[in-house]
Amino acid sequence: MAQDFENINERMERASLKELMPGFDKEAEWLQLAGKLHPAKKRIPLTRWAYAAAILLLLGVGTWFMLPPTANNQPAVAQQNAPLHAALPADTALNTKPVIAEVDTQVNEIKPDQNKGLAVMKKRTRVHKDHDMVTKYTAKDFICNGTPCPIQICINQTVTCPHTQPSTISSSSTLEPDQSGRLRYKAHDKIAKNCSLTVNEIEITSIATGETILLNTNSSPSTAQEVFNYITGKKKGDVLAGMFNSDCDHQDKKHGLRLNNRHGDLIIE
Amino acid sequence: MDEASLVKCCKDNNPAAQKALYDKYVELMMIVCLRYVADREDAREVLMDAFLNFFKHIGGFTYLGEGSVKAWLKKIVVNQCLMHLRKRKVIYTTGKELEQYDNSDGSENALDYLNAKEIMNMIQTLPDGYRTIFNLYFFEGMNHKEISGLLGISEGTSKSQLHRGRALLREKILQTN
Repeated sequence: MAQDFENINERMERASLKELMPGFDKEAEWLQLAGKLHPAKKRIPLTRWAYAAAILLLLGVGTWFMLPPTANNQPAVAQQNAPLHAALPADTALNTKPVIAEVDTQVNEIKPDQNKGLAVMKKRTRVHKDHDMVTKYTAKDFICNGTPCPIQICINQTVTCPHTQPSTISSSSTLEPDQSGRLRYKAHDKIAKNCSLTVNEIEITSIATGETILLNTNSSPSTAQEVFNYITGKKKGDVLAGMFNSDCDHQDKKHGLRLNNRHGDLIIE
Repeated sequence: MDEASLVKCCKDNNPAAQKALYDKYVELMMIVCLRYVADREDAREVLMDAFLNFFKHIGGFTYLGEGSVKAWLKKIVVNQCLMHLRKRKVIYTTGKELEQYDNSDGSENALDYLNAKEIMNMIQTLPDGYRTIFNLYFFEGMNHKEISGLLGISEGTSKSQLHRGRALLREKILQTN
């Protein structure tokens, strides 16, 4: 009974597809199959990668500057309460080199005995860029002490940034007679753009006599800001900072103290 | 390039080798699809899926000489056709009606008067169940035990379906002749 279809397989093997299905497009079918076997990969041109990387970098840097600082990163308030002479190095009087005494004290200093017996783990925290700069006092300009007396100049400045408490920076410089050195203060170009810097006080002290000329917002004949403008070179010329009643030898010899930047570097006369 | 090399290149996902094997077997496999799946568009889709599976799994294929690629590919195509039919829920009726068609009219050589297209058309007009078992028995060379295991039916059902399919086909052939 099965004989009638015995050779059917052989018959069909010999058949051609053109005969059985004339409309079959082998090449079109292959293209479709090849598309599924090798799907086209989307390639982003290199330049687009570069643009994307640049934008990400800018965003990262921008975010870094815009982030408010944490409480731990508040700038330390510097105060100068120590007596003037205590702040000087022991060999200052004998040292012939230009001497710049640094009397910067941080209020938030941790006392050693507070952590006694405790294992200290140093955690590296990200320091806000603004404050990082604030804590670095910048010796910007040279100043020459043209008087016969050693003089100390202390400049108190306030940095105000958004989202943070204002912080005070105090920096002092001591200048030996007829010597020049860098005058230390925080420069405007060293703070973040969104912060402001104001000068509160300038104290000019004659170390030998202990006399101090205190300049502030109400002082006369010059305010602290006016004198600071000459220090920074914002104004050219000379300014009378104040009067000393005696000279280094404690002789009653009233003389004015002028700051002069007419010839370039700042000179105390 | 010989077939062994083509297989090796296909394992490396080489498009040229894939195209060569496709060209060699596509027509033959389309004929196989048409025998199982009457609708031409469905047959095209089934063939496409079968070739995709073939190239996807060729990494696990071991070349055993001439004919091994064809046999393996045909097995994939047939399985793909059966999957397609399974999705269409082809029903295989039981073997109770076997005796009804157990009559041979003696037209053993009736096929000799038909061309391939006519034979294909007749096969395609068979009901899905008859056609599937007819194909598996006469074209794939499987016995009723193998067919019943493959389709999940009894051997009796397989025999019945084959008998009825063959009788129907014979009837059509005689009408044509």
